[in-house]
Amino acid sequence: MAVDITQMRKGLLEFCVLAQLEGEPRYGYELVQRLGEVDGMLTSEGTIYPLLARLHREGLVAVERRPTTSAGPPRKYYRLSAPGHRALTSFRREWATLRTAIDRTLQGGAR
Amino acid sequence: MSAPHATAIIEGYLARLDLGLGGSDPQRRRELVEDVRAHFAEARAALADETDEDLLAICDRLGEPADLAREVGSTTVVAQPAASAPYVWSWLEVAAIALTVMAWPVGAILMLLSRVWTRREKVIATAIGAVTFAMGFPLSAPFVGPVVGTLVPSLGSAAPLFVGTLGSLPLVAAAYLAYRLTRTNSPRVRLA
Repeated sequence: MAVDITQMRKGLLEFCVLAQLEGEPRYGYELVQRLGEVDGMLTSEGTIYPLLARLHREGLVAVERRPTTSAGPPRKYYRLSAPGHRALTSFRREWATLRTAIDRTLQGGAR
Repeated sequence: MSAPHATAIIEGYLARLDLGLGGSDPQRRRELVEDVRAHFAEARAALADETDEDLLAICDRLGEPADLAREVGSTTVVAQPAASAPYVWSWLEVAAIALTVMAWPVGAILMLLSRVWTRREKVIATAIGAVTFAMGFPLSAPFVGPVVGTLVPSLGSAAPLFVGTLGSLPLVAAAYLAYRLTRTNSPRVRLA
């Protein structure tokens, strides 16, 4: 059962990442920090990087490198693409329905 | 100032990650190691005076290198259906669109059976189809039927019925369904 919850969390995490990119482009570590502020969102910080790579391969996010203000190497910024926007919009709609259905089912089971 | 064993801790972590990625695509392998190296740089920049414990804590939060490497493997497998799933058409969708034009009630049933279109799209297509199907015959047959009957005498008395059927073709509904089929690009949520 613990494995199932992990898989569910992984499946949902990708849309949470897309949502974080909705307003403005962000770099990987910034995303880790933002998602880390939400309790239970990231079980391990490293998982965000393979996920971002996959979202990039699938065309849901675009990548651009921008110089940092410090002397470090350029940062890799992720930006939500048009297909990413559509996927997020679609997920929000599906999630609203699913959440209601699950809540109703779970509450029904408790009665 | 760097922690006493900074290089050993970070490079050791990256080496274990690289080793775990042994069977992966070389570019993905390079990218992930580079991303995690950048993560270390960012996390270290936020530390005022780093210690070995700080760096070990960064490693802990990142997770086991072997687990990260497995993520690349698992996401590679999952990525294939996810990338192609939105565009999977089958005979069912093609038949639904064709029959929406030729025999709307049958087409509508096939459309409802399909899992490609969303509930909203099905409701819209059904509404358009039903209205045009119901209105087409009475609107067009009495006016256009006699004209076609004259132009194509072989149709004879069947001309109004023929034209009425043509007039009732829910072309708009079929066009809408076809349009939505090509526009659908919503990765399905995989909960299992």
